[in-house]
Amino acid sequence: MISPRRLLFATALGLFAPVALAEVTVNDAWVAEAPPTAMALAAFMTLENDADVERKLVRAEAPGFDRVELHRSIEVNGMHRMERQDAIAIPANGSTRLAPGGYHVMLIGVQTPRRAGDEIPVTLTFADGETMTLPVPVKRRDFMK
Amino acid sequence: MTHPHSRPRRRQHGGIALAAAIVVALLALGASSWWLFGPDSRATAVDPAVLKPMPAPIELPDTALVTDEGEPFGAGDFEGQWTLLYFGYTLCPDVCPVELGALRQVGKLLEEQHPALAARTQRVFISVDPERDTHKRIRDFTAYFDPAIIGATGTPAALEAFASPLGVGWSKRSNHYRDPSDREETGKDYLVDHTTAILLVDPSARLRAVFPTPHGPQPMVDAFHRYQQEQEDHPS
Repeated sequence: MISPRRLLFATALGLFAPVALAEVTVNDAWVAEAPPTAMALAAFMTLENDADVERKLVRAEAPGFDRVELHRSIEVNGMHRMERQDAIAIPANGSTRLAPGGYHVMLIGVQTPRRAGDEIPVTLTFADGETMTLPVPVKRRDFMK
Repeated sequence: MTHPHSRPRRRQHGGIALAAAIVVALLALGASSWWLFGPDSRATAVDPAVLKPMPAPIELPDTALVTDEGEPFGAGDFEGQWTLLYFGYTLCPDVCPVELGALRQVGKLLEEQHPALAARTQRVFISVDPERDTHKRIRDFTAYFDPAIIGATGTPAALEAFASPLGVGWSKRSNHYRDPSDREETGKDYLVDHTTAILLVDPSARLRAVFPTPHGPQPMVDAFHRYQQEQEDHPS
């Protein structure tokens, strides 16, 4: 586990994205603003792994939501479905993109509506126990601008 | 295009033979593409990856749906204008917002680029989740994207009768992966797998073509405009 002090340090670093910790870097993290009816919000980001071994994102947490899950949207035979993922792998010396229509962090059960400009602290946990917390801005999707 | 008489006459027989060979090759190519892509896509020259014509038009079933204002909504409401039609649900977390966003953008681009066509095109969102999607929810959802988008839904039986002849389907899938300790057994925690395509309905209330994913607004507008021109110049 990570010490509270280190977590605080990571959080402080998070104010100046990208956040680097143990060779995984998070870039371009954002949460998509959703219609007021939304029961869930999706967080997107690019995870970069500079290490020579694969890393796995295994959990995400955020205050103000009933629960947080790792998801992937897929299209099969013209049907759309969303599937929970136990982990999202980041290949050695590679990156994995969480983007609309694919992998995302699902923030389920919105307790208070969020608007563009808000910030949501999201904590990511990797398979080796490393965690990082980063403030993720809520933004309007491109097509809403 | 490559016609023997259109070529310069400076060459003798060799040139003519070459031109003839090119013509034969082009004819063969044309014939094979006819075989490959069928009469519809050939007639419209619309990229089927953007807008895929139906093998034959399908009349919209005259089923009693209801708008988010509580007004009856049926096949008659599709007559006299083109319709872009999308089926989804308001709690759809990831994909529906992207598709509604595409409808929003298509509306804006049509307005800017083809205002006459925009004036006779409606965009309709039909919720396939009437159990949770109240009229207000549907209205709030569509209004977030564009208040001009018409929202509608119906009873499960009406939705089924309306959508299945169009090849549109969905199925509820319980959100069974949620943490058991946190289960409330409301029976309302489910996702809906559903068709991703946006449907194009003509002013005679017939399904004519579908926009498969991905839904790029500008290619959609270009394809729609071209298709509509072809169809209304040479109605089938």
